Amino acid sequence: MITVGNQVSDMADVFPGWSCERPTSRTAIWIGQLQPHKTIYTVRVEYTEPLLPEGRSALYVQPLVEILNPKLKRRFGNAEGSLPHVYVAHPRTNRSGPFLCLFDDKKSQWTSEDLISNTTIPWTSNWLSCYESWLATGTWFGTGKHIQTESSGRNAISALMEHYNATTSHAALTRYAPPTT
Amino acid sequence: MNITTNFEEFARQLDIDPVEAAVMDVARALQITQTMNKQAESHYRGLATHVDRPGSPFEDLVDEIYASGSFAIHAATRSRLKRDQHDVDAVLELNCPADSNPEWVIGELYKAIRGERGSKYFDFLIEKNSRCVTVTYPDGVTVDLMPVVRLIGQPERVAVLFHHKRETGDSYHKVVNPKGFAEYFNQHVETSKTFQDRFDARRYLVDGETYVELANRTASNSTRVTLEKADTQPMPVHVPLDQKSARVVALQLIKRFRDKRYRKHDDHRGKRKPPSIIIAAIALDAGPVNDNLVDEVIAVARYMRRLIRKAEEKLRPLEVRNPAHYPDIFTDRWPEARSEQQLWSSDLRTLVEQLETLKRVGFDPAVVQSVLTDLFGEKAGDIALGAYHQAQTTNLEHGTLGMTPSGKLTPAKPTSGLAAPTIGAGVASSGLIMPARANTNMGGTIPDDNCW
Repeated sequence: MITVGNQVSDMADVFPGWSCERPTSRTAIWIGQLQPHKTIYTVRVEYTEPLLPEGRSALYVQPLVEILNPKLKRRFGNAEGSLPHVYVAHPRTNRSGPFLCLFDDKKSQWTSEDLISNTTIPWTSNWLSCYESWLATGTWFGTGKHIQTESSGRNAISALMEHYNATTSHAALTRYAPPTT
Repeated sequence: MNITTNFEEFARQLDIDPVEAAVMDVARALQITQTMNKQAESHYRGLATHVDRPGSPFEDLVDEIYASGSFAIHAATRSRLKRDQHDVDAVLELNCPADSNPEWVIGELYKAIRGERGSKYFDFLIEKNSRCVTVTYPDGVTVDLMPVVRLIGQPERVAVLFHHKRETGDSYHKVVNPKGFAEYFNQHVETSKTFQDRFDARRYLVDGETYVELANRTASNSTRVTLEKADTQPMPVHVPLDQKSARVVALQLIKRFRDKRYRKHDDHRGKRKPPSIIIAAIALDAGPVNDNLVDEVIAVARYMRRLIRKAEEKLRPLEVRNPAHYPDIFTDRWPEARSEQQLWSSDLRTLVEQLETLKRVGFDPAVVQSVLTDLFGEKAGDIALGAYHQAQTTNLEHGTLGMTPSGKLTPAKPTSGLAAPTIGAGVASSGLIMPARANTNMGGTIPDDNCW
């Protein structure tokens, strides 16, 4: 596992223009700018080094990526939802999101063994590029699939939680089994 | 270079500006496939046999049939981006007196094609036009069959066509040489290995196969129906002009632009559009060919505007002649009035200005979407953006996509040894940040009624 300290050093090396705040010894928050095309986005990345052995899924420990400015726009009435490939909330934070969904944890595309600088950040820029095309056309042209809905046949609270989390269940993020009914 | 086995070299070569690549992607979507080409040939040859059949008004009087217009110069395009529809122009050489009455020739050809009840084309949509008969196939493909009679004692392939317009009573003969023009064009239009390689590399990056691979696969699929695989031998693939000449591809784009303007813009409705053959003849004289497709479209459009401006200065309509047969005036029906050439000149100015805007702004999805859709219609913008992201994904998967520190994603030379997660490990010697691996955008969607 790469320590948060090493992530901070690496990010400072690769993205010297990004600010870095350390609210706790295990957490780092970077804020910087990405410009895949013409629009310049201010991006916030928050990462908390997991305690070993925490047993959390990659979806739980992942760096949380938010776009601070300009605010992400929605396309209402779109077949893929008003904003695809995001989480509206994440159990690790009280921030309201949305947070970008950047990898498939089932394929281990990101683990805590990875540097943020050559995974999360370029993937964010690619996500923003796809987002701009989606805004223009209503089609998500990048790679992507939606996490399979887990609400069908489940209790109302799970369904509500999934709806709140933008069709992704709380269980998928925390990998805690929901109570069976 | 075999780009399927040497992706690294290919990626280095593919330093194509994203705007240029987007226009290439639209052009590729316009082009007709080899299968469509063969189908078109089969259509017009079938029509010739039908017209020549026993009992037909032209029984045993068909000397030859050959493609003309855009088909003959490899600049044919789909009539709809999302469908396999296309229009074919064919010349039908008849063995009848050259001074035959035009109304009679067109009328008899119509009868010959329609045939008696129960014959093949009887229920097809068949229309008499002033110089040809148009047959619309059930799949939407149309064939314009123009009857001509070869003139003896004239240069090779010079013939007379028959013009009859019922509405105005116009009826006359005109000396033409469409075959001569096609041969002249094909011999004189410049090709470029640089353009061909880049156009094909772009195809490979987006579609996953080169033109030759596509042609072999298509041929193999059609052959497999009748032959065992072991019996089939790959035939050498003839690469057509629209894969190796930026000028021919530019012509295809200009034709698409013209069709969109005359179909969708109210101020063009009901007006005759500038014929493809005039645009093609002018394109031949538009100076040295660029390897860059966007520059090529701009150059041809500017040259055509310049010719129109010169004609306007003399208060005359544009005149363009067949370079293979000087008496054959291509501009005999367009422009009928100077207002028609003024309208087209204004269209060409829009084309040039919009493409220059694209070049100046650079690749921005919103601008690409609006400009390409405005110029080329239907889903041109979607096609370009879809291809852009497909290419980015292919590069990402092959480790040939890098990112500048500012966030711009660009094709890059692949690096090795990114597995070890040491500080700064993802930065290539070029200064580009190389993603460790490809990713998949997961997650959910925000429903419309979510109050976030």
